[in-house]
Amino acid sequence: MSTVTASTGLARTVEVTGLTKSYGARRAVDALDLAVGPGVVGLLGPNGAGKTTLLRMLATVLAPDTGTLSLLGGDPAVPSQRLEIRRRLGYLPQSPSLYPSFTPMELVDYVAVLKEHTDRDWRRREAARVLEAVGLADRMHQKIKTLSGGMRQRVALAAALLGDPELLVLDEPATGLDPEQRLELRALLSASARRGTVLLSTHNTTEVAALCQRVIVMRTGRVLFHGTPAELRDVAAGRVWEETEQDAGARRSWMTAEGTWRHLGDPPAGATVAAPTIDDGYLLLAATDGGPR
Amino acid sequence: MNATTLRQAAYPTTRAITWAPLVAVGGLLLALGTVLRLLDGPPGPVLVLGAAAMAAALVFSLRDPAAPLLAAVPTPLIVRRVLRLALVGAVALPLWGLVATMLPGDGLALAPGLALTATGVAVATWLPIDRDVSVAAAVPLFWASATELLGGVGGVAGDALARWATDPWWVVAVAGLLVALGRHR
Repeated sequence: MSTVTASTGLARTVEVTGLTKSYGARRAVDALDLAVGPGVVGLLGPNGAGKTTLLRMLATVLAPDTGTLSLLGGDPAVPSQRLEIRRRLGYLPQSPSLYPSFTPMELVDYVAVLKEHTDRDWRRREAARVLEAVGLADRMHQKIKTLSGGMRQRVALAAALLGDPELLVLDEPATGLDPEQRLELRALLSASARRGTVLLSTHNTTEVAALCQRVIVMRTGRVLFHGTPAELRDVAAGRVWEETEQDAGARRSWMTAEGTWRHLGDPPAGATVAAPTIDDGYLLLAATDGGPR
Repeated sequence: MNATTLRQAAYPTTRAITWAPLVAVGGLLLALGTVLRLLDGPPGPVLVLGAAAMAAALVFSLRDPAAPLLAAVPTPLIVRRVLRLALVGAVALPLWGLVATMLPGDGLALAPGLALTATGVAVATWLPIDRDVSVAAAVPLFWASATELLGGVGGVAGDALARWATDPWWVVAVAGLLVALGRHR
């Protein structure tokens, strides 16, 4: 059983015990234990690692096969408690579809209605606030079908941010965003994390380094690593070296932009050890656990 | 979840519904009704399939492209779907009534159409959450077609197959029960 504690010492917003979800014979999430407190927690892992399935269960969208789940102190398996959790939760699914004929303002307002905000004036102000926060102030009255993929992603993110949720579950929120928008996203999520818990999945280790207080690396439904981004980086401490030739003994190797070969694994005698990055830590972890060499 | 939420959600939900299938099938039914009235002919299998297509279009209105985005809102899926059905029903029922008045006898009775629609809605309720409701929308068409094609088989199987037409209110009741049982999915 894999166990993760990613708490910052404050009250835990997410507590999971023995969480399992299978699709047919394949276990997408396998007997996972997890405890998360306020702050930003990043989920890293290759495609098929179980990140999306885990996030969907944490967003109350998918029921686990077995295991217990406590979100914001409630049990999502109990319908009345699930509703209460959803009132305090924001969720961004992976690549969500939107209504093309709506404007961002209309869509976010609609989501606010379905989030039971019945005060029209408050809704309008809140929709404008979140759309401004995601950088769509000048596009909020333009039809969604005329917006780019990145802008649509930000509309969906704005909908998730409505009402400052205490728990924000975001599945690859940076998809389709350019570097400048990613920077803005980091600032936005850091601000949200001051008020609650942000759980996000990503393939981008740079994002994790810049944004997350804790990081969880998943593979085949299990947790390979949990800790801080610095601890993930340190997984590769003393196990990264660079040479002009490829080293067949390395666990993983690739050519850098400078034309040298960067190697991960057990360095041979006399090799010049390089400073590790989070990427190195993640790749070494994946290679050690039977991932691609 | 309260009445104000439902009232405020009605207009945007109307805009979010894909109306094209319902409009197309409604137009087709009206055309069929007109032709049958002009020819003074009896309602035939084509009309039965037309009615099944109307039921399918009603079930198809449950298809929501933004459903993943709305999956974690406190307004439950069942409530959002009931609202959608109420909105499309408000258009479909008068249309159905209009066509029915054009035909002799009970050529287009309401109850069998409701039975097919309710069956499709029940299937949609119990589909895996990632499955497109188009599968459920095909159920009324499939059932009505099968009845037309195999209607002569008789026996228990034949009776069961024609149940939506012979005992529509029972079918509505069973489908309603299935929807109620699946309301927390």
